[in-house]
Amino acid sequence: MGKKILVVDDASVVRMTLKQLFESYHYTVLEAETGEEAVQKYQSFKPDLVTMDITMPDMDGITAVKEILKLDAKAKIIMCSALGQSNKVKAAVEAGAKTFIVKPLHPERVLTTVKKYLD
Amino acid sequence: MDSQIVNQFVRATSSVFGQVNNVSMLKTDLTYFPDGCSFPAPVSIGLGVAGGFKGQFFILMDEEVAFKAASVTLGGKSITAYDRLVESAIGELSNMIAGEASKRLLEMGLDCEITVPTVSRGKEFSTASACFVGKFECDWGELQLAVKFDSRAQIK
Repeated sequence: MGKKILVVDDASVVRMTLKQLFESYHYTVLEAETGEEAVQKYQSFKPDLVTMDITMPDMDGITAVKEILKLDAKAKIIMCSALGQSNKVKAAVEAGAKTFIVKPLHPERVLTTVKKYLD
Repeated sequence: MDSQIVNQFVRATSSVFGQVNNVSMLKTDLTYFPDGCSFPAPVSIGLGVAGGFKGQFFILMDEEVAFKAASVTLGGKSITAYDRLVESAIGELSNMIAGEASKRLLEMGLDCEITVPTVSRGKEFSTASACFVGKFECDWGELQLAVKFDSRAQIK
């Protein structure tokens, strides 16, 4: 069984695109639409890696990173957000995210980054 | 000051359309409407802004432009009907414009938070309050950007 990735984004088009990309490389993918849903699914799905948006309804991505890291201090979380301003990148990394990819998402860059943290 | 802020949204729109859609946007007009305005807009994406200044910005387009933008996001898939996936794709495109604008505003000293986009369909965009409206042309058709201010910007 391939490694597991939890894709968190409120935009269905982003979740669908990333799911197709990761599944074509034999990863097992689960989706979450909000930060709160991500925290719940992290506990049951136990993914090897999480891709996390920032701006989402109810719980935002940075809060979700903190909540997931409370459950699993070794969680590997990559931020994938359109908010590329320096203060957001800093906040995400300080919260515990491994790295930050600014949208638009380029498949090669996303895959290279995911592989780097999964291998 | 307000016009400098509006320009960041104008530049962000051109930049994101170029990066994501590989489409060159030409700004054809930028007008200030002190008493509000109204014009046809079949598809409208609204985002709220808080922090460095309070207001909203709207990206307005016809369905044809929305279909073409969604098609690019969906890897070239032909789009002939408006559905939730089209809505999600143009919402995400607007999110990227918001992100690019936020980055540019922060460089000006304005730290802003931008809400998730709300996509709606109708016949026209109408506001009774003052707003700036930028018009763009590209190969796909026309696109408009409206920026409304609820409070004046405070530069740190």
